[in-house]
Amino acid sequence: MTQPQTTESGVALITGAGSGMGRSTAQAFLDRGWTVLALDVAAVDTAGADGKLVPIAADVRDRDALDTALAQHLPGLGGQVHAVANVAGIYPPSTLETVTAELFHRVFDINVLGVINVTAAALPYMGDGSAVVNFASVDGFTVSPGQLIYGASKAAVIMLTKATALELAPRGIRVNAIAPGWVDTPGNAATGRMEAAAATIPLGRVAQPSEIAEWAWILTAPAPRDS
Amino acid sequence: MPELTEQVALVTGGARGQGAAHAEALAAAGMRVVIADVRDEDGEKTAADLCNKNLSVRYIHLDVTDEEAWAGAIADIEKHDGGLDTLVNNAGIIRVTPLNDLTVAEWELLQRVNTTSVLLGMKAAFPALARRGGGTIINIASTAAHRGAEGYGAYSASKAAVLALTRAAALEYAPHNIRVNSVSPGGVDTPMNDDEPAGGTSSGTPLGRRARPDEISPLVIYLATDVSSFATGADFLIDGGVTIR
Repeated sequence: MTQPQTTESGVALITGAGSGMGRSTAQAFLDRGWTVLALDVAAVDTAGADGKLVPIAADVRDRDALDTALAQHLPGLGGQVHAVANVAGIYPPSTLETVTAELFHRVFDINVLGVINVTAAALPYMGDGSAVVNFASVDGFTVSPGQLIYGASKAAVIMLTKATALELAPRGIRVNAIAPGWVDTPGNAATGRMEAAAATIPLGRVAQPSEIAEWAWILTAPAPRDS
Repeated sequence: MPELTEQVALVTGGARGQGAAHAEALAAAGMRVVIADVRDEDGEKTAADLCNKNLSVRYIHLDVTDEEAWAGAIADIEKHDGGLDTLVNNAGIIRVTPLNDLTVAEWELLQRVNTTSVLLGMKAAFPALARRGGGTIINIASTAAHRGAEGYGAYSASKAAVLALTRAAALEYAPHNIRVNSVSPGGVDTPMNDDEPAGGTSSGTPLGRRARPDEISPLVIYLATDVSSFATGADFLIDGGVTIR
């Protein structure tokens, strides 16, 4: 019988793992006994993780730093990455009136180049059956007023997800994306708009980070196999 | 997995193929499963085989295009199984005919079996799901709902309509705590594909092979359970990458 979840443990590389959806995604893998390389520019709280949560202080914009960090940590962890979750992202509001080149480059460098950097850096350690999940957003499909650059960056993530999926399929590496809507994260709470947003959602509430994290697990967990 | 004991699922078209795989997976996850079909011999055998694996599965005859039969089936399930928590509208057929050769009769047959059945299933199951305080509906669509293919006009239309019905139902049923989603598989190896040229093999599938039905089932389980608690009105492609291009 095929099981929807596997207890087989592996190594996951998760960006933005310090808080919000990234932290919840790390927890989803830790709960299954996986080792998590928790990459963030901010400190990652490793309390209670039993040594399986390995914090990496690095910026997804810095390819060299990513290469160095993986070369440093992976030999001691079996040398393989089985799952990559590109969660790190920023969402400063912007409109034609307020946008600056600096803001554009910062959003695209973190949200788009960051995904490319991390995936490319992890690739030498990935084999047949491994998988990548990119965090896009509903804003990549429909316009969220006041999120001019963020929405464009997430649309870019959706397209590069498709392109990398095609590029990596012959190697047996799957690439998918999740497009979450409103999620109860510290960053979203700080916008002060979450309650108003919940009223517009048919289910009448915003998502908990754990509800999104489960999808990251589903999309990257090893494929079911016959037993 | 969430604790599913005492949860009841109905899987239409459960006698063979994807429906049988989904029934087995849901039962293995702990649910009581009722499979419905018009292929009585296959259905009884599938149920018996799964019962032999210590799974709780029983077969009922149901023509999914018959509204009265739906009412009877749901009443029977509420009586014998105590209620209904999950409906998997999986029953479907395929015919591959160029538009210029397509008769109204064949067009209507596909819409009736693939689309009207979904409407009737949701309508019939709604009161039962609401009586349980909520539940889940999973409608099986197809990659054909997303892309064109020669000869697939009627089938594609029937499956695209399933996506539209899913979205409307998700909005109408959300206040009742009933989530409705669709799954769009592509290139699955099932007996239904014998009704397609070349067995429905889609050249250029990036993963380079057809799917086993049990590769679709985990997604059905997730959509049936609270693990997917924030997903509703969405379609989930699972197709080896064939719709990327």
